Amino acid sequence: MLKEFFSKRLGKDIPDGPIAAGQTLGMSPEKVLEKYFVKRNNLLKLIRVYAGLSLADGAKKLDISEKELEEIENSDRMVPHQLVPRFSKVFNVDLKTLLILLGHAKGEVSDRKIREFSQLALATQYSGPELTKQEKIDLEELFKAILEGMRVHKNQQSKKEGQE
Amino acid sequence: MKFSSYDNSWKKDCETEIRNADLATSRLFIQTWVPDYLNRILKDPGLKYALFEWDKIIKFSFVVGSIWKCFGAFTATRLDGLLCLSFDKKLKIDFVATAPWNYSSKGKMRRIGSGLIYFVITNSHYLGQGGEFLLNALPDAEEFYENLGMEETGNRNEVNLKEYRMPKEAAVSVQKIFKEYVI
Repeated sequence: MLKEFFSKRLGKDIPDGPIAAGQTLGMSPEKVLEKYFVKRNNLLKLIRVYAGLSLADGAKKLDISEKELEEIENSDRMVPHQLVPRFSKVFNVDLKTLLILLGHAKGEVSDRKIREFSQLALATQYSGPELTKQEKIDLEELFKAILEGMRVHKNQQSKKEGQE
Repeated sequence: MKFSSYDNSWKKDCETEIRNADLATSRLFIQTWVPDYLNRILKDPGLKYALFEWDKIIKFSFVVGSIWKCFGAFTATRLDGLLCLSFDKKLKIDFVATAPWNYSSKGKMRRIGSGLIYFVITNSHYLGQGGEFLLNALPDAEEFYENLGMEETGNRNEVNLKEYRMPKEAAVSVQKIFKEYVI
């Protein structure tokens, strides 16, 4: 109704502009990033600044060089996925949202897929140097237990099939 | 219009002024609201805050300014709230928002939303509407408007948001309550 009213009054067709229904509910974070940021990775600079860290401090915490961090923050290329969980941990931001906003996972992808991807990204991080020796041992134990469980399960399955 | 707002983090009263939004307001929105919103959504993915394309809304209001006006609520140089009004026989709030840092009960500033509503009621009187106005409320804001005494009209907009109407009597009581903060 408003659009018709304005168009009639101005004597020309007006653009959809803010009357577009979608805007009534606000923009999605992806749209905000796309619309207002020159480069997607500028988001990483934003979270670093909000965390009150300088480039040098941020790089140190992320265990990468200052130059590398600067390049990542000012580029549009995909951030290596093993780095995303580190960003999430160091700057205390939600990993899933960060993965979506950095383009590693799409917002419309099901929650399960995103969870799987987050786990994959986290698993990659486990090979990083930031784990303590004890954490590495615990993780190795866990992987051993999983592998053992899988082996037992496989044996049981083949026995069952043999009996049948 | 100037009113006394309250800074929840500094625990002190401040002065907030509502004035016409211009291009500088649009720039301020991009420079302050947008990054703050993204930072908050990354900290709390469940955040219900709705960020509208205020830069577009403000610019658009320049084209049809006679019937569509935007206003900003400024505390010193900080943009704490935004409002977009249209008048087509009836006064309507098309968009209203407090800054992302003011959102929720733990927000920085108090009385920004109420100040904007008081401003709308005053404008409604100037336009001969007796304090009445309409708006479509986001689900999370319904309680706020109901507490102000607004009533559902039974209509919904294109995106299924309930339409609320501020009755004259409720407008009078909002004015009475908020008057003590008006400077």
